[in-house]
Amino acid sequence: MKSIPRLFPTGLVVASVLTSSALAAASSGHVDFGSFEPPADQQYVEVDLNKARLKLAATFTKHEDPEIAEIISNLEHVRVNVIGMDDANRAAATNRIEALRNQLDQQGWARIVTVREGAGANVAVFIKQADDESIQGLVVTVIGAKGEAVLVNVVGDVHLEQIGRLGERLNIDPLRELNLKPAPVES
Amino acid sequence: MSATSPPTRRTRILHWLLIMGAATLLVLTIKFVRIFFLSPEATDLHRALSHGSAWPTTPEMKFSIGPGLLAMGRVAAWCTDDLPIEARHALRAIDGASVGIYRLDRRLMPLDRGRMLAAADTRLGARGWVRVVTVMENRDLVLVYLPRKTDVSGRLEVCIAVVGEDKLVVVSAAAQTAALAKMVETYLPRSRSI
Repeated sequence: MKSIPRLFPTGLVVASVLTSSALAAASSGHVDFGSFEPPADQQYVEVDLNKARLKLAATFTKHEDPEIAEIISNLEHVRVNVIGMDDANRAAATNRIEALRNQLDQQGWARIVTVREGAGANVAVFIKQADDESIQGLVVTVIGAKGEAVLVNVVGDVHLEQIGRLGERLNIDPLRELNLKPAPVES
Repeated sequence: MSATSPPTRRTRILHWLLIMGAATLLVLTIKFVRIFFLSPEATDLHRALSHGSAWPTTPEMKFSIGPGLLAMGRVAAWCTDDLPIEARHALRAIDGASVGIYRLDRRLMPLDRGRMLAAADTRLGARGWVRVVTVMENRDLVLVYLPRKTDVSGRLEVCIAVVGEDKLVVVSAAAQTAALAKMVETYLPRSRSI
């Protein structure tokens, strides 16, 4: 019993550190998609590049495309998940993506694109904005008509109009098709 | 009395020469034998994908090229005029490579691919590697692992597994990042800006 009063201040400090870390993560552009089970006989793609690996990629890209290399080297994290869907996992994947979208709405992410094409693609794009022209994070969620779910999280200081070029260079279709521009400044 | 000293000293020198010769021979033998074995990372990756998933594979080829063999290759390249310049640059850039090629029956590929990935992640994670790229399409598979702490400017290490056709290929390689980047700069065409 004597140990409880002694543990209390330590526990309070640990709880404060963990809470502030969680809040910091929530306030940055990083989103944890969690882990996915690769479906049997379906397509599955996962790419997870942190800052160091992105800098490495920029080293090899800078000769071919210096502008893209500069953009990539400023990123903190890029994560891409593509999960093929069949009758066995479609409902679970769709529910998981809808739950993620609700979570992002609640965490203050701005939903800038919503596309629902009946039986076609179902797309939602979220950004966490730093200022009018640059963003801290971007999340693209796609429940595709071709039977695949796509999740993309780009973290780092990137300008809206650079997103499309980044998607083209990293071969990420949902980013490639975005045509984001900052709002014109009213004079 | 003094007549016995020179033979004793000569004998001692011969003994030392024999010991050093035997030690050198032993080292060279070990290095030669290791050419036919995979690196620890490539071995772990193969075991995780095959044994860990009860997916039988038959070895077709295994070899490793270490710093010693590469040094000999660089000396040979320096003495040869006919070697293409790209090969010379590649020899300078690479620090080592280990390749294993296995034949497999894709019909027996485990359906629980999550378990395969988990086994590979566990084995390579214990060595400080993380999976950064995963591509599974139909029954083709590509896994790319990098060290948890990536050295951007120094030495690049990578471990790759590829399943295609009826083959499993595991590769682990190390190269100097700057030299590799220089090769990319020299030999890849520059794309036109749009």
